[in-house]
Amino acid sequence: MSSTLCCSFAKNVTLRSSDGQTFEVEEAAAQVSQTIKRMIEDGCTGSVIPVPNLTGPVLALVIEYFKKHSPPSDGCPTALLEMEIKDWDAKFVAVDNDTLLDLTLAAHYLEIQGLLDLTCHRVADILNDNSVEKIREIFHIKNDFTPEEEAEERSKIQWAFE
Amino acid sequence: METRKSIRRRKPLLKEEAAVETCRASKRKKLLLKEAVEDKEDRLSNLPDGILHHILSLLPVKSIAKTSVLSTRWNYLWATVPCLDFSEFSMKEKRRERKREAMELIIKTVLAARHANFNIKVFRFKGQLGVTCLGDWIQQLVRHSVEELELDVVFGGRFNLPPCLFDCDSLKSLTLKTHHLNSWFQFCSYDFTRTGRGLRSLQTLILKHVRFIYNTSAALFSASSFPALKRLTLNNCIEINRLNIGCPELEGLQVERTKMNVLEISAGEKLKNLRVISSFRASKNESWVKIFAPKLETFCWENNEFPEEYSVQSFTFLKKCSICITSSCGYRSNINAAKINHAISFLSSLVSTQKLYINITNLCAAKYC
Repeated sequence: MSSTLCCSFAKNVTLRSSDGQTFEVEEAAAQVSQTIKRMIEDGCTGSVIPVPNLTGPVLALVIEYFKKHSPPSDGCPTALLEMEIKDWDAKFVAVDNDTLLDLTLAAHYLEIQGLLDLTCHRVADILNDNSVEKIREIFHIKNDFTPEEEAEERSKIQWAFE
Repeated sequence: METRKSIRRRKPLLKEEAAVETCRASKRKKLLLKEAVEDKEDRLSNLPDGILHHILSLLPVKSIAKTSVLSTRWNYLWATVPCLDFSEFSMKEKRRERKREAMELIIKTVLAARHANFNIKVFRFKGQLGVTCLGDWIQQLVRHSVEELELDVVFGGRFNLPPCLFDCDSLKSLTLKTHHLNSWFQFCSYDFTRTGRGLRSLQTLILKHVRFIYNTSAALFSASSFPALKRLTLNNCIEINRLNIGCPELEGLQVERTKMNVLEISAGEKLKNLRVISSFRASKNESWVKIFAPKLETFCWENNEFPEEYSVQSFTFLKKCSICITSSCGYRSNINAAKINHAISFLSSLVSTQKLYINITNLCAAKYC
């Protein structure tokens, strides 16, 4: 009975974060990550797949992303669905900067190109929309130039401030 | 502390709340540790170079340059960023000459400040330029193993492409365009074909307003000179006359407003799209077309004359074919039975196509058929 039941559901895999939390997720969804996809292909499905670079809360967020972006079981994604996913993506990265950077690193480690593009675009927007001083403030970037050095660097790219 | 706060804010979204709860203690410990080391500091700058370069490459070049004054770390990132795109660069200066000088100086400074060991994968520029500058840039970009080079420039006069460009093994995509009537890129292919040089990685080549200087019998686009070429576009090029193409990987060929009287495609095993527009002129001495492209899917022949000799292998996969004959093909004034016969034999070789569009306008040829 249990085996037939098991077969009627999609196959799941278990992911374990750096702090030991485990999450069950559909195999097809987890394969949005190229890293996990390779591990599954290498036969890691029987046991728990360790994700040592991600803490539980970050992994949980990434799994939300997996679920939204797992390939649809019934044919091609429609234009409507794509629009919906785009809206969802925009909301997904509308987070505080620390979470945004956590997600960026997670996307990098797990090779999730879509998520990496998404988070990088968000960071790029912040860099594009703010002045140098404001960017330093937002991301706590320490200015390690001497005033003279900074003036010199600014003069080299005066054209960028025009 | 911000990290933990932010994670808490997101938490109600999680289904695995219980699991999070049990591990909270260890998580807190780790976070505290992590925060002490880097979180209160600057997490963005601590990202790997690859990610930061990816982020920078999404910005307009002015915004990338601005980040160079953030800190020494960002100054280094600016000097190593792999993509420099000046194709949408706006300037306040309106006077042409001043603008050109300012632009030359900007790019000269940017290239001079580049970190020697880091490649420039992508370089794009659109605007006015002096030829000396252009030569210097290309040499520097080749030294930085450029992969995608796109120049859409007005320089006035003729510019010989530097030979080093034809030794650039890193180059995957090359676009050279100029619009000004008096500006010509000159492509001297004599040395190129004779010395066995080649652009071995080049997949895309787009040329507009290029003058070819070479021995006409030399097959410039050969398997040895462009072994990886997939897409070739020639627009408004001159002195080519005989176009022989033997690039085995070619998938798309587009020839527009490029006068020629011989067209030979000999190794078109992979060719899928072929467009010849306002280019073919039937010369009295020599006029033939030979196409070997068994996998051709779309074929467009518009505003061309028909060749005297014509040879094609059958296009079994041809899905769409469009033939357009207008008076600008020179038929109205100078039409004769021979020309009509050429046209008919040309057309009859295309009957197996799924969709054939023939557009004959403003021409008395129809009644002869």
